[in-house]
Amino acid sequence: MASTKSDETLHDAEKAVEARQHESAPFDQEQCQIPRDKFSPPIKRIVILLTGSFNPVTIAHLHMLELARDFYHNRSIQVLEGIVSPVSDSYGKAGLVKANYRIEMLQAALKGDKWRRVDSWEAEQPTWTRTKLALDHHQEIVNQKYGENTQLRYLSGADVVRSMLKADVWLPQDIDDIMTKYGVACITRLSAPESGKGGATTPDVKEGMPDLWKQNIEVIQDWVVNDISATNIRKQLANGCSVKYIVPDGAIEVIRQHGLYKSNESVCLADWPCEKSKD
Amino acid sequence: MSIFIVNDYADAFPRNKIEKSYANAKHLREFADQLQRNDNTQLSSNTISFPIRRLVLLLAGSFNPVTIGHLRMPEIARDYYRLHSIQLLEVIISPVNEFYNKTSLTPATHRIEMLRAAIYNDNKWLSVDTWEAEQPFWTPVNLVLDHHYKIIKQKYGEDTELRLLTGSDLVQEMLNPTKWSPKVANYIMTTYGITCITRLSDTEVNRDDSIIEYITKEMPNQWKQHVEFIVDTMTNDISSTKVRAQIAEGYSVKYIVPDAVIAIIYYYGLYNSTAPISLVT
Repeated sequence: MASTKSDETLHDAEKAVEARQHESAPFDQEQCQIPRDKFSPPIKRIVILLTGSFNPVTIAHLHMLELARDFYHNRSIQVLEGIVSPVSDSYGKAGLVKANYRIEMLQAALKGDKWRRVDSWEAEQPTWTRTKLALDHHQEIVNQKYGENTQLRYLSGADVVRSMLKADVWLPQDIDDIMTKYGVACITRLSAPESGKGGATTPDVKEGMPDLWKQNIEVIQDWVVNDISATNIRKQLANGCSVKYIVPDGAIEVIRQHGLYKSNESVCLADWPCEKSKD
Repeated sequence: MSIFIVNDYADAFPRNKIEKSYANAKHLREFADQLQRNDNTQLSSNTISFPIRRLVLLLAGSFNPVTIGHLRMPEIARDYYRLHSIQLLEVIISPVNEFYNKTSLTPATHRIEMLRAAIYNDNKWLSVDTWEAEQPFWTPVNLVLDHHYKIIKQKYGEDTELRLLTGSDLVQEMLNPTKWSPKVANYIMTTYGITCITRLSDTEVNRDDSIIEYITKEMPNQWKQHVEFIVDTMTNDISSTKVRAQIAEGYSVKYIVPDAVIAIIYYYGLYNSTAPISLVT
């Protein structure tokens, strides 16, 4: 992202960036002395990896990538690419549709996208791949593509990050590697509480975590409340109800085309004939 | 799942004025035939009956800008009504007049353009109506309802209902006599009725009961029968105010606001979108 402004501006910018890199405190936009209309080069470049079942892909998933990119761009960290990597079928979760469909839905959702792509490496593996190994694999490719200084960042939701505290879900060595080598970008949702109880919850994601983790997890707060759950979506589809604006349009077409999630087993309410007016 | 069962035995079915408007229900019968060929439906094999009610919804609001939160409401309402054998004929989206006097209300032409772009692919049953926005002064919603009701009766027949589609915030406002004249609120409730889409609980306020309980506790009894609540289990709480704030900061609102609408916002520089360096390339 080289500036096309005058040498003087570039010189100012370089000095400011240098000064910032010597600071131990995180970059604070408020205190930045570069006026906003001057353009400074990024202090760092990263690629984001988002894994999950994407069963089906929803706007919540894609919104996570937008949030993450805004977060980093606001801190002068350039996000070069967003890699979306659906899990392989051998993950064994009930109701997981075949990887080729999930990839097709993702591709339809990300059609024409400039910085995000679907990657099928993980889905193609014969067994389930530990996150750390997927990160290792993609880091190799990122290094080749963009150079050795480009870090891969692991993007996930608060539930996945909290699961790192559970003894039987992650290998401790894996977590340490992920924390030190890659770093975690954790999106916290503003979600509506359980039925009947009031108050939005924004629990502290890092509660109870070792310092090593706390230092390497960047918490990104979502600004919309959403309660989108794939289970709910599958139920809606099975009942013929609409998931428009919850699941990207392209993905909905793929779902109906192949009859995924039992969407062909009941009448699609959207297709119900609408009465014509008298004239 | 019982939806909409059309009866082949025309004479045996208890007739009333509703069925007169179904004289041309050929396309419904064809659809019904198609259904009967699908073995997986739970519809009983040889009868389909007429819907018990026919309905048009009016979705009013500022739409400043329109978001997926707004656009979900007609979808949810349609699914709900069709599952209850009520035919939702159309949803009229009516953006509010400029004289409504909200501080950051973009000119009506832009809001209408954004709405039209948003429903471009869905214009069989959704339409953007400009009557309200075109009035030379602010038009309270009861007048908007009256205006559309006349047109709807001509279009679909005398027995078609018109209801106001809204979220729980508007219903709560209507219960507030400092905000709404009780007479007007009563008129709307009793003449038209309200379809209120709400989540089960409220994120903003700490409460132990659900929103529906909270609202109906305060509601006069004669209104309760006129308010239909639809619970949205996949809620997005998307406030246009927050959306405008995000745009003004240069943040992305993709997947919160339809892509076509985002293009319009940046094209015209609405909502201070040209002010900061846009983080969205």
